[in-house]
Amino acid sequence: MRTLLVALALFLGASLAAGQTLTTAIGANPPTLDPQLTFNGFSFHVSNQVFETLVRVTPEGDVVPGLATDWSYPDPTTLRLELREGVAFHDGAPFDADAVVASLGRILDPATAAPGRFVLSAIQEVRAVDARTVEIVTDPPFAPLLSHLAHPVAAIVPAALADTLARAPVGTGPFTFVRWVDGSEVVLAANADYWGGAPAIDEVVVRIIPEISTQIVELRSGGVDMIFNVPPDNFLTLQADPAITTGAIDGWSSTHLIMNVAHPKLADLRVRQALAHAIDKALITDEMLRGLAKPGVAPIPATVRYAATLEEPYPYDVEGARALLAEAGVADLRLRLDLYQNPDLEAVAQVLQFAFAEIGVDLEIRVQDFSAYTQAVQSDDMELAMTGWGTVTLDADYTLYAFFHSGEIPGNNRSRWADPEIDALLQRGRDEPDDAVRAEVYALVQDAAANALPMVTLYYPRFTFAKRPAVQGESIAFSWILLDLRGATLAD
Amino acid sequence: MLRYALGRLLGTVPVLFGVTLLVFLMAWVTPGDPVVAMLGEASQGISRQALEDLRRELGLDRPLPVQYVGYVAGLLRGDLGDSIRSRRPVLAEIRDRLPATIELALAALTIAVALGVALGVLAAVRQRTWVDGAAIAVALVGVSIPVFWSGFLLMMVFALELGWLPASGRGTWQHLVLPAFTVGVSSAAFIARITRGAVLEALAQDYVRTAKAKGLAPRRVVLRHALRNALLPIVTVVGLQLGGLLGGAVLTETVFAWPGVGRLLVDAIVARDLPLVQGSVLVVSLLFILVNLAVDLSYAAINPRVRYG
Repeated sequence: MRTLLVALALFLGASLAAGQTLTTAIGANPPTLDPQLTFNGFSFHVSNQVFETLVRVTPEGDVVPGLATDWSYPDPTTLRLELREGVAFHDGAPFDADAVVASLGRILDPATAAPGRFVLSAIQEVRAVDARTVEIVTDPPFAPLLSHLAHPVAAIVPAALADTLARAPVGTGPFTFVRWVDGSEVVLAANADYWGGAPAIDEVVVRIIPEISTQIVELRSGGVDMIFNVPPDNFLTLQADPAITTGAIDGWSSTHLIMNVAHPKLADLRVRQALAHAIDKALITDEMLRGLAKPGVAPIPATVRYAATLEEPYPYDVEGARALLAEAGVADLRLRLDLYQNPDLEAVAQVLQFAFAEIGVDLEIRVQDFSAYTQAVQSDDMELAMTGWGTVTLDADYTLYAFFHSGEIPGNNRSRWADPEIDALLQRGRDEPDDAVRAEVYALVQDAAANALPMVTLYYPRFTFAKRPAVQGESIAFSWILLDLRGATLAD
Repeated sequence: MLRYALGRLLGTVPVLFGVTLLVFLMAWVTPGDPVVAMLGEASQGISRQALEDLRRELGLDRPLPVQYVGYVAGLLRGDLGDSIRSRRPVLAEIRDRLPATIELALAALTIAVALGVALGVLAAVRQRTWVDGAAIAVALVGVSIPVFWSGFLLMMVFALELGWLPASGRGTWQHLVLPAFTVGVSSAAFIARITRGAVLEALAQDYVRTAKAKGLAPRRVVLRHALRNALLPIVTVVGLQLGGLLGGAVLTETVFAWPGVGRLLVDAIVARDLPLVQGSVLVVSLLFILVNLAVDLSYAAINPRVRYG
């Protein structure tokens, strides 16, 4: 009898250890699982478990080794990377310098039509020095290159399998691909041979559940273990549930009110100042978004490298705003605000409408789908626009160059703010490898922007998730896209 | 009858081309760009030049009419093209989703017919009694409640509170129960109303009076004589319901994370994935036409007086 019990206990123990499955839910079917053929968060959320990049960014914002263990700059245009030993792709093919050259070569090849090629477009050449060393050449120098190599599109893929990666991904990462039931779920298994040691969790099931309310029911009934991007009201409800653990972390996102400084109605700085003074940012972040956002000043959140800490130059001040409008000789101002379908943005737009009415400005809100919106804000008669933005490389250059360089008008510089001094600073930030100099350059740009008001940075949304308390040891930096399950465990 | 069916099938070809032309024209007049729609917010970080390069590399820089001609040429060879976002053949995308849609449609229809005909007959037989009132009220509620709401209600009760059924997803028969009931009940309401009307009309006919006068059992009179003759409108409305369901019950699929064609189509529209939109609409239209043809052909079996020619 005792032996039977011992055997039973052993069996149960073994089956528990063997059967650890972590189930997460995401809101849409990934279009593909080949990270080079997409720029889609749902794709990256899954592909990041299977593929790895040469370097990674920690939750603290530091660039640390990934598939590369060390790096140096022999000259300002050449980045030399030492590759990790003892790494293989899931199909057994070796990971070496040739694999890196082929992988980066594939994403840079126009024939691949990679939506994320722009992230790496500064690269001129990738060459293998020896089996464990590669050199990446950019000309002119491109200081943010390392941050860009940490982006999911820069994942190292086996170029020999180029035609099948989309539906059957093969990488070097902690999890191997098992199956993908289209529109339903993607199943991954622990990579027992992972160079960093096999993950504690045996299986990851990523379920595709479009409706957040359904995700919440599944979380509460045990159908899934973890969900992401929970809207503020649902988040508060889940926070009060003792059977659920919630989390909100500072992300890479920011939300902006962009003002077209080239438009006659908004060319006068005093008018833009008046609009900025009319906005109570704390009302938006604390009341409307339930504390799941921080009021913004600098165009990039503090999580981004070289983000400046600025005093609010235009605090909430309705009287001051009215005075500025009177001084500018503006009365009966009517403005149009463009935005795209997004529940948060639409709610904030209504707050702005009310706030501007307080200072006698009539705001017309125009909501369109994203591509129609993009077309509208690139036309010269754009007045105000709202947008959510992510500094996905976590380097200030990504956002500041796009927002404020005159060469980006009207593509991404939708405020049409053009200043040769700013252009020169932004270029210097790209050329200059020295950290301290870059920090200084970007501080100047951010300060100038906060004062000249090509845009009001309304807030930095926090990234939310909810999980069953049994899930522990997972790490999320900045976004659900970068979920790291290497150290995750399931307690029950 | 075979000639009639073949003729009808041939007739669908111009209809289907009309459908593709319509979808294409809608895409043409809608502002916006598929590359930007595909990338969403992320497109904002990309320079104009890079966006233009991508558009060219994906073959989306060609004028839409040129793209359409290429599309139709492919169609004639039986090629529905590739999805812009996933780069997979459209046919493969649809093939992956169609079984889920058909499964849900048939299960929902079974529930709808059983419930709808029973309620309708009951209401007709007990006309102007509380039974009739209750049946009509149930039908009215079924039509009026949005599936979004009733679906969540069922999910809260049977998945969260009672824990009897999985809340969402597809896999076992248990997964099918809640979405099938959600869709089935709302379709049942339509069928019940049509059934009630048709049976009432049949009950007023002379042959029913004759049957009653012969002393046939009331149950036999209703089921063999009245219902049989009331079948034509019922079958018609059932066919329409099935055709609609095969187009994908988008809301139900969304609530229950059911991987059907409806969601595929909606995702494709949001992403401006024109080849996938075209292909999905084409397949859904074809199914709708086939179901209607089957309904028309069934008339002869139901009523021998119907002749095709």
